[in-house]
Amino acid sequence: MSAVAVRREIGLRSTFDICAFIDELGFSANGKLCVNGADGPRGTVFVEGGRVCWAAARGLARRLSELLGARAALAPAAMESLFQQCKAERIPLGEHLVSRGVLSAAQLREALLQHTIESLRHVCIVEGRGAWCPHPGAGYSPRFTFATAEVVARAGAAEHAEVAASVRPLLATLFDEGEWAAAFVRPSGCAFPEPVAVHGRVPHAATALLRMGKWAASVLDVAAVFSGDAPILSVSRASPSGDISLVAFRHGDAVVTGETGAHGPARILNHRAQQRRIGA
Amino acid sequence: MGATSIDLAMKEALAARPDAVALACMDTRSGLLLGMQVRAEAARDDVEIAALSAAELCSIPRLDGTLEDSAVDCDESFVASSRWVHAYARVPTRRDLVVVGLAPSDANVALLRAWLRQVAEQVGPPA
Repeated sequence: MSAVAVRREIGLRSTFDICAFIDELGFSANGKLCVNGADGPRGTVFVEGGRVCWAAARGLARRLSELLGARAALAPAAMESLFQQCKAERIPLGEHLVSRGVLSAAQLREALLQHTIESLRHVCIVEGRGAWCPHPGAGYSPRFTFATAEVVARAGAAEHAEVAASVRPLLATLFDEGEWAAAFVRPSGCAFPEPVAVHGRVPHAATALLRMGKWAASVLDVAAVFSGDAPILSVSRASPSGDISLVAFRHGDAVVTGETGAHGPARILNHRAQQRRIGA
Repeated sequence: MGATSIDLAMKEALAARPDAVALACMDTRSGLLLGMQVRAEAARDDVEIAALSAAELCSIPRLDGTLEDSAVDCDESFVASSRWVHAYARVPTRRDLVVVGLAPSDANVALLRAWLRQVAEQVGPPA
């Protein structure tokens, strides 16, 4: 993949479309994606190093302040005063709150991600046209930026909160540190599975994550034809750090896939057997 | 190794492994089933479908950040359900051939896979 150095335009219908467009730009892409609808500008997505820094949507100008204020437990008047001060001094509000100890870095990251998700959803309410405008990076702190895979998974979790809440603890139980996993749902009428939860260092790109979801859903369909109920698939591949297994199985309405070590598949099978015994 | 000798090798291998109930060898390039040995307790149709699925179940998508939808062949895989364990092993000297072994779900998966690896080595031509 190589960075696109010219202005481009593309049709955008969903958060995934926006993330897929950013993936295509490559890991060195810096700039902004301006989305326009028939009614004029709808919003802007800021990108640095191929990661989403934040998104702004028309009509949601004060939303980030609300999210930060709620997490910092500041009264609206105090929050407004800080907002005006940061605006006048051209200081990023969130980082100012962190430096003052009013907000933790994790809380700021959480607020920024939620704001980005809400903004992207707002931007894509109706199909828009995106124009990519490259420009030098503004120097956003990488810890407060988001891989496109994280963005689509968070958007899916907001959409399918119940499934996400039920599968998240399972991912944490079955996959060790250094391993990764993702859960997907396949809503009816949707051509591809949507990620709803991720665990560990999932592939950075939303397109790669989705490829894994499609693969898992597809192989489980194939295996179900001859293997009976609830199959688990494990595919082994050699890597410089030892054998790695890519696994796929269903958990309720979710399709789970992930990368695990040599003992990972046995761990999953044991967990399943225990659950069956408890349920019996 | 021809289809007859593959069948023979699989027949001998299956006879030596009482907990396994079927063996099949699939040519994933041509889509031809080169041989199949099945004990009475296994359904031939299911074994055949499992073998015909070898190309999909013994490969994974690329994870290296490329945008292509191509797959990477893998050495081994298995499918475990509440009834069966299907294990797949690629023939080391003929990577387009995949051997499939079937055992009931209470079989030891690690031993089944190790055995199938040996069968795959026997089925293929010498290196």
